[in-house]
Amino acid sequence: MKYLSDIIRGIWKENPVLVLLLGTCPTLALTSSASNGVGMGLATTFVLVGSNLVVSVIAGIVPKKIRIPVYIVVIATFVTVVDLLMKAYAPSALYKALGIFIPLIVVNCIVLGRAEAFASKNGPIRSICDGLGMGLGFTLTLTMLGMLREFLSSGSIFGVKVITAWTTDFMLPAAAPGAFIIVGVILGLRNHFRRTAAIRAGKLYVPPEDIDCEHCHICADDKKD
Amino acid sequence: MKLKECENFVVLGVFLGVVGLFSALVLALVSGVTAPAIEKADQRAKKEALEQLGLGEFDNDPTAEKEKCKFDGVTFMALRKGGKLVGIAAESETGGGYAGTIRELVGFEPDGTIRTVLITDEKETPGLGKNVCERRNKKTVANFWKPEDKKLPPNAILDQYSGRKAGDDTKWRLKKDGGDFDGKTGATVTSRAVAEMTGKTAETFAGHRAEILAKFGATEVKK
Repeated sequence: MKYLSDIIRGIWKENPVLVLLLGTCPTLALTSSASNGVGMGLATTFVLVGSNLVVSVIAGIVPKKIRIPVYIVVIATFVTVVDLLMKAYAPSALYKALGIFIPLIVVNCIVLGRAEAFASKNGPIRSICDGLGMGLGFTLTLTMLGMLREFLSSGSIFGVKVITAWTTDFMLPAAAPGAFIIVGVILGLRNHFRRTAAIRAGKLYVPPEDIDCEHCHICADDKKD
Repeated sequence: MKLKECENFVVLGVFLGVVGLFSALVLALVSGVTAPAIEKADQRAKKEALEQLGLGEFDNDPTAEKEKCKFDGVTFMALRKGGKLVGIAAESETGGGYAGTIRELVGFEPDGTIRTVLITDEKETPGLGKNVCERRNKKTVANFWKPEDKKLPPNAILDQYSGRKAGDDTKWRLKKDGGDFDGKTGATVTSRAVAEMTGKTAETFAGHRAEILAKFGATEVKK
């Protein structure tokens, strides 16, 4: 049950894009079409699960002082493995579209954030579940966003034209400014509904725990000093 | 002393070194395993592109070293069927696009007429520059279930170059620059880069045609 809740938490309650607001760069840059979103999401999921597993295993022996560089090396290794595997086995069109963004998974905050905030404090199985949940949450959000942007810009979904009369592309949603606008609207709506739901239940709206700095020691250590 | 609380920089350095070494080992292993598959994927992509040029069937390997020659940064490849030259593919690239390098493959008939222009690699803006470069079947809900057309999808900008040849008084520029070719609105930089690159390739082929044909062993040129 604990494992299941680890997975589900990443998909909805602590969705990395919509709640934790991590990994915004690939979110905005890569969701111009739905298939790009799926590809990038799955690649990130693979890296997340792998790095979470390795980090949770080695966390016990890594000296505290150099844990971040060690985690980065682990993540970078996984990203390069994904890069090579995709080059070898993925359809060439997908690799062409994602190619330059794959190396950027290394600096994706979600991966290092989960390694530091979750995997280094929990066992391997829970860490895998967490990586899987966060990765799936990321993939679903990217796919949804990609579908929305693709539909708004050219009337098609996954490259299939749904509105056949739509011949001239509308550039705004497919370009970067459109991505900001659409993500902003989604975030605003989400916050609005959560707040009204909380008020209706007679409670104060409290953001999820993981947003505050307490649970991440990247900078909290300095604050204690 | 516990390793976790260690602050001795020599120990830390050695630890990092070991981690790096281990990751290098993993990468070497994966790279070794995937190298043949990557090679094969590259070959397949290249062969598909060459087939799309529509110069007719060929049974040699145009990417092999003995079937290639290079002039002014343009690589020419011979396409043969049963030893006879059926066409020449020219590969060139330019940094003149809106973002990054544009790579192009041009199919020539032996007399220098362009058959097909194909963009093999680009990083242009989706919706603008990409429309100049992309050949893609438009899928709609109406034709979703129909089998896909095997023909090369059309692209109005790239198809202008088919049937043209260097020396025919062709001006390899956009109409708005006083040339012969249309550009795409909103993607002038990309259109211009493609026009210039295609022109350079055609001129190079015209300028070195005798040498290229001699190298490929097809001296007789039908007039």
